[in-house]
Amino acid sequence: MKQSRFSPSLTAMHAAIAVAGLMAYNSPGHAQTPQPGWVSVSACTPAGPLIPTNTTESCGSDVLQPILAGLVTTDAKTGAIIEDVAESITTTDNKIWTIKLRKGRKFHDGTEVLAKNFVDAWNWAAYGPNGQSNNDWFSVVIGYGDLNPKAPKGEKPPVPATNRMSGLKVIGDHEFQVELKNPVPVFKAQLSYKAFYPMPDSFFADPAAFGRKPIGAGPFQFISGTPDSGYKLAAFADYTGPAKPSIKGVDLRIYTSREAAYNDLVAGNLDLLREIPASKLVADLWKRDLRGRTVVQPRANIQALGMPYTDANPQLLKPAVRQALSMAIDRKAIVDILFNGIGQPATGWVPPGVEGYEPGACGEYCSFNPAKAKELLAKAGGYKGEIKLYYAGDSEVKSAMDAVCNSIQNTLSITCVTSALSDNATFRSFTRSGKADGPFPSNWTMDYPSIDNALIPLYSKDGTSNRGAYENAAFDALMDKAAKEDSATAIKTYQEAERLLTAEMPRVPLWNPAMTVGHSPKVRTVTLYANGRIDYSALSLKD
Amino acid sequence: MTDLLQATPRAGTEPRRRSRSLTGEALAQLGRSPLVWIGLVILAILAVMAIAPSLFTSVDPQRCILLNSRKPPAYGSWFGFDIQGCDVFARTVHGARASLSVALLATIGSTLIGGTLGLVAGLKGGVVDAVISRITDVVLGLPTLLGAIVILATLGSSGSGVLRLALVLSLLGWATEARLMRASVLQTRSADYVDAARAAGAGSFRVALRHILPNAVAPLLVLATLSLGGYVGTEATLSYLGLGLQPPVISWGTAISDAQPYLASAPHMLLFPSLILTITVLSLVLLGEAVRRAFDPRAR
Amino acid sequence: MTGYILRRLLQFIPVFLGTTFIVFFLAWGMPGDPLAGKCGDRECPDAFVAAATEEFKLDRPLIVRYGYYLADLGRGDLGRSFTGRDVSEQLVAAFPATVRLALLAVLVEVLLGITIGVFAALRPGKTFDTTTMMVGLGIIAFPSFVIANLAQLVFGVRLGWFPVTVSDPTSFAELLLPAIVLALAHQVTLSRLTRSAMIETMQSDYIRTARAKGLGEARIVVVHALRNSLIPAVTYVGKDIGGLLAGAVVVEGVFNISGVGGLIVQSIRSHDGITIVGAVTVVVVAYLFINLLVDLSYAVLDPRIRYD
Repeated sequence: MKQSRFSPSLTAMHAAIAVAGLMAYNSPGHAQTPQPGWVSVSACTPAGPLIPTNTTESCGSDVLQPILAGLVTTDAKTGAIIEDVAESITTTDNKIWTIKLRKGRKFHDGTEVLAKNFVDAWNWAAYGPNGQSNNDWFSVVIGYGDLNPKAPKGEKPPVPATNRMSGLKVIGDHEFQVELKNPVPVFKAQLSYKAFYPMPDSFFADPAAFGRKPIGAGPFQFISGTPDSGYKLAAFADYTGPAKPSIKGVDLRIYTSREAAYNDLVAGNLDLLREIPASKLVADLWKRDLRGRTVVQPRANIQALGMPYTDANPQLLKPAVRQALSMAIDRKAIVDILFNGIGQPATGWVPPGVEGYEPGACGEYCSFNPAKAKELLAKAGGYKGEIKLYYAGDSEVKSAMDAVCNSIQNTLSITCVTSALSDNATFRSFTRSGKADGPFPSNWTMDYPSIDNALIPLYSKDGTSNRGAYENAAFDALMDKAAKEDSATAIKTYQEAERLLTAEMPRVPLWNPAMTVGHSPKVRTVTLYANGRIDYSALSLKD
Repeated sequence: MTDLLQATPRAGTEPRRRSRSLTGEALAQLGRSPLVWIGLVILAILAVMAIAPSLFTSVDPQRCILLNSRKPPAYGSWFGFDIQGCDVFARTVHGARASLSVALLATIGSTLIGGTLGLVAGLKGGVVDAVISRITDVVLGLPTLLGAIVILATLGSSGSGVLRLALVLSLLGWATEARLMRASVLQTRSADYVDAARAAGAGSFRVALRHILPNAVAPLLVLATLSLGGYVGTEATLSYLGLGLQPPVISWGTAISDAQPYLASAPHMLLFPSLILTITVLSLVLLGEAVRRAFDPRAR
Repeated sequence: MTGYILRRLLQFIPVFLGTTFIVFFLAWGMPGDPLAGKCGDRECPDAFVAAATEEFKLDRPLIVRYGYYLADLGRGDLGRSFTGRDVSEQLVAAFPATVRLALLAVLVEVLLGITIGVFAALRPGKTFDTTTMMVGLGIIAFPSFVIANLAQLVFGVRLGWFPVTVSDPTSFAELLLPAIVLALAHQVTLSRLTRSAMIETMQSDYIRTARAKGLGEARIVVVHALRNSLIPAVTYVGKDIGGLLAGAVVVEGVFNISGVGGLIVQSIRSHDGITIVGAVTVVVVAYLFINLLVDLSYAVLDPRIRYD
């Protein structure tokens, strides 16, 4: 009796082992066999559908970038803005822009890229109820307000009366005109941002389908893929633009951690990885692991320390205290030791490699000077209590922020502690809420490589990422002035405005991280855009 | 189990004398084991370390000079320096308090909650069992991360970080203990000696406390001694996920989590905190095991 | 017995509803604005916020939103996540890898844990018992991320015996190393539980009786002693299967397995309440089934336990 009851479970166990064994045999590890001419690249899960006007985070942007083509693009080597789908972009007053398209450029579905593809795409993206995250890029166009009527306080915004901006006019199949509210000298540079890219007619019929299988006019065509398994992008046979690739395709593999991707790269299972984890840079570990197959390139990015603008901590509102904190941070030591000297200490608010970048804009206030820091702090009446430095616990800034805190603590004898908030959403809500009583890391990646994009969104009163938090009338006046000038003069004005920021230090510049890339032996050359993305068209392989 | 059939009635008649003699004998047995003494000495050292860390090191664990980053062990800095240039020995000594407190409190908390609920569920059966068991199922299914985020947010910054973390770990960790206790009680309560005790007219509360609990508690104690070590690891894992103890609290978990990425370039930063952690867990479990065996009448 | 099973199955309904309710409120009760940080380094434009608020009804009271959620659930619709994907689609993508990993890990865990437990119990305090305990404790004293990273570095990258990461869709063979890593830590508790129960059983009267009857030692150990000692072990394994189905967050991350653990953590971090509720509810239902099976196994393992 006992035995009979026991034996079923034994049998079950045997069966389980047998089944598992069988399954293991039936599905041998299908390690992806590399296809000739294809490159496997580390990627991350896009946060939403692959719609360019609704993609602002980097994972989705990485997938979309090789697929899309816009009016202009940047030259990866020189950083210059060059025409892509556009044949010419002309203006006399920086307000009315006439755009002529090249003939014969095709979307991946075979249709030609026409003026209406731009105008329709822009109208669709700017139409408030479509809720696109790149909606506000079109606020410079006349008629944007009609598509985004202001909501009465506490109510839902009313339905717009029209879905077309009056500032956009189709002139012919290959020509259209844009009328802006105010002069924007850098409008042409802005056009390199993916919010301004054309959409094929099929998009408007079914945006959701497009989000799963995007169609662009870029050098690579979307073949297949999902956010879990990664994406396959093949070189587009009918591509006639300036960036014809030499490789056959890109295999984007999804990694949830860059450590895992790094290990795959070292083991030879991956061809390209951007942003090597900082812990692997230390002691040149990556150079040894990868036997020199490494690339370092500056990127248009700045890591700064955001400062609370509210009186949650009145002591931090004093400019002298902020200047003292800034001068107490040994940026060079942090970059040298934690990033193994890769990247550079920031000397201003505009990243290098950007048109209008001027080294040393922040002057002495961004250089490590313990004596002057102490003196400034003493003059400001000292600092009572501790400084809390907040960061998002799911980001990778912990060791750098610990180092910033330690530097402040050692120099100024103020207790400085780092405090992790559980995730990015919590962190952002908190730092935006006005309740934050301490500094926090604030990263800015340029949307397009021009000085205004490092200043206007963050420090002008109506800046899209400032939203009235920081106000400086003199700074705003210079922004208005620059908008009316030609681009060479405007850059001088923007630079003048940048130097104004030293007086109040709305953010404390920390460093400009460099882009690090590791690659497999089969890759010959890697070229990166200023924003750190790979120029797949310039990628070449060994045969 | 059935071998207690003879022992149990005697326990019922002369409980005090039996327990006293048991205790004496148990202590005598404990004293004879060298392992117990080693374990005791280590734990005593750790306890002193947790209470008065400055007896072991005069180095300020919060004084971190980046230029010392990753320096290997040397004279005067026995464990070397970590990535921030803090003295690893000082950090390890000062980390004992937080790490041990979290592990102890969380173990006690989850064992008490889980043990009590499991006991009640196993004894009462029926609706009570159904309700407790289903709650257990739900708690088992809740992701620690979600629970930890919400509980930590609800608690805000009240109390110390150590207490908050211990509370989180107790509230989210008792379900396994409850399942185990309930299973054990189910098995014990149908044992012959329990029937015998009932037949002898013992009240149900008395039966539960004097006959079922002592005989059903063994698996729970095994789990408890092991989870002491496990919770130090959990604290490290929470740090790894960005939810652990926050500065200025120093703990072994955060040290291990911070050092892990540098395993290949600076192993000493990971080695020393891990070593101390392992020694602690070993001595705790050895001692716990010895005590349990000494007091377990059947293990003689 | 049948009545008991029916009653247990009936309990699924309130537990299911209760779980969705609790998790719904926990998920949306997380601090912070779920839409913050959805636009990269930039702040989200008003139109985006307004449209997302409308689509996900973020401005309604929680209880109303829970009502909508239940109504959708009644139609078999698990809802849609912030990522624009259906939650059912996300679950279908995440569960296969996790189920395979869980099965494999539990298999290794049971084989190791029970074997070590039994042999340790036969000679408690002797070399095998002490060594396995020491090694086991050494393992659990290290946090799982250290063990997982170390195993990946040594056996994957340096020695090349196992794949470094796992492809998607994955196979059992690829999952062996992560499964062993998971099983190593869990087998310690399992073997200690088995050992403790075995020692207890081996001293009981009926084992003595069996010995007196002249039964072979192997038969005594396997047929009589082990079976009566398995209840704590089975309980623990049941909890482990459930826990593994909930996803091994750390191990999944290290070996790049796109499974349930990663899905849940990712959803928690992006405050994607609808996905959290869906995934956690599936996990709780799995626990209900597993623990029902575990409870039924008690009656098989120990005939004195009866359900009626």
